[in-house]
Amino acid sequence: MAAVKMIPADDLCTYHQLEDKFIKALHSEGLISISIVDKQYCIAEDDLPGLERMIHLYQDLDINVEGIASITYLLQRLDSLQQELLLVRNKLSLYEEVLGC
Amino acid sequence: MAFIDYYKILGVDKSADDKAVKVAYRKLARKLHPDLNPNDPNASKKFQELNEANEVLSDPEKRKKYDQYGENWQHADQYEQARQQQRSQYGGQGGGYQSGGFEGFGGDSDFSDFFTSMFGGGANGGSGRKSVYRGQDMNAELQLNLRDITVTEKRTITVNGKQIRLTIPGGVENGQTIKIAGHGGPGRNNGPAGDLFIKFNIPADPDFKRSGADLYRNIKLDLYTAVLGGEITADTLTGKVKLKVKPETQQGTKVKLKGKGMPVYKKEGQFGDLYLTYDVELPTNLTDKQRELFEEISKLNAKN
Repeated sequence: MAAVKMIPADDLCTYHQLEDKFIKALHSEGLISISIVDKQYCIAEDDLPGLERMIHLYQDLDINVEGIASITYLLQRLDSLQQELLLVRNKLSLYEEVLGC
Repeated sequence: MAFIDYYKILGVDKSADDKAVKVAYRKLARKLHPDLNPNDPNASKKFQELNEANEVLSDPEKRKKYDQYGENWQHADQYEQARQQQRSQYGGQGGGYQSGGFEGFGGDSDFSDFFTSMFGGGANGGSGRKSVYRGQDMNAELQLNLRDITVTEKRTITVNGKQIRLTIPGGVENGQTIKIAGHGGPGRNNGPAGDLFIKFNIPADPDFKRSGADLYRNIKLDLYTAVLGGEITADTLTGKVKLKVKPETQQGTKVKLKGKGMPVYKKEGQFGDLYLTYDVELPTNLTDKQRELFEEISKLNAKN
């Protein structure tokens, strides 16, 4: 199994000019996973894109953690629906081809 | 370089006050933010346009300059001269405009050419409220055929002169877009690079019709095998298969080959099915003997 790179939460907070209570709040809400490595709170590198999206929502749009949780859930549903729509569109074009539409 | 109507972008009147501009910006920002519009390759651009409009209209000095020259920004010198002539004609006090007043092209890639030519780049241009800038998102299209996506495979493609190694998931749908994080335009001031969106174009295959992970194909079956039964060879996407044909197989009979369809997207080891429909071919150019035998069969059929 490939080693997962862990990023210290403190470094992330410094880079994004955040208070650590925001990261803790995300963790309490179950939105991110935190591990303790060498006595430091760390986040897996693979989880960074998702975390950065939450940071953007917080900093750019003043959305609180509860709002971020709702948005995260809705985005997951949206992704699923978009995939389904694509499938349906492609199936429909198949029938249109058969019917000569 | 075209004029950009910042009021139109924000959806406010030219007489809108600061509060109205702020409210309009916040409302649109929550709609257009790229993180709220996943898989939309135009989201970053629209958000950038919105931010630029807000940058100008929420800054009193920039707004004043923008309002002053408006659509005449390109002819500012002549415009200013005409104004001064008008003022002196009416005996008004000269405003004292310094010629060549516009700052040069800032070349700031975070703002449009229109913005940088009016306000310059760097310290003269953007407000610098965030010194770290994410790079621009980029879009590309990749044409594939059905046979290219029967397995997940890595492929190296060139986008804007850069070689990118990406994984093409098996069973990807026509029109599907994937995001390659960090392979867009470079960020500024140690900001992260933008993302690369790749849309897959998979045109219809001449032999196989696709519906999700299932494939459909018509295959020709000669009359004799259809009537008497036998064995035929059929093509799948990944090779040939031998099929047993039952005697008295009718025109339009469907046969399902389980697991011989496309891989199911993002589900390792799962495959759709291949449905074959028999098109029974009637013989042509019969010999005299064949015709004679058919006539005999026809008579027997009439008696029954």
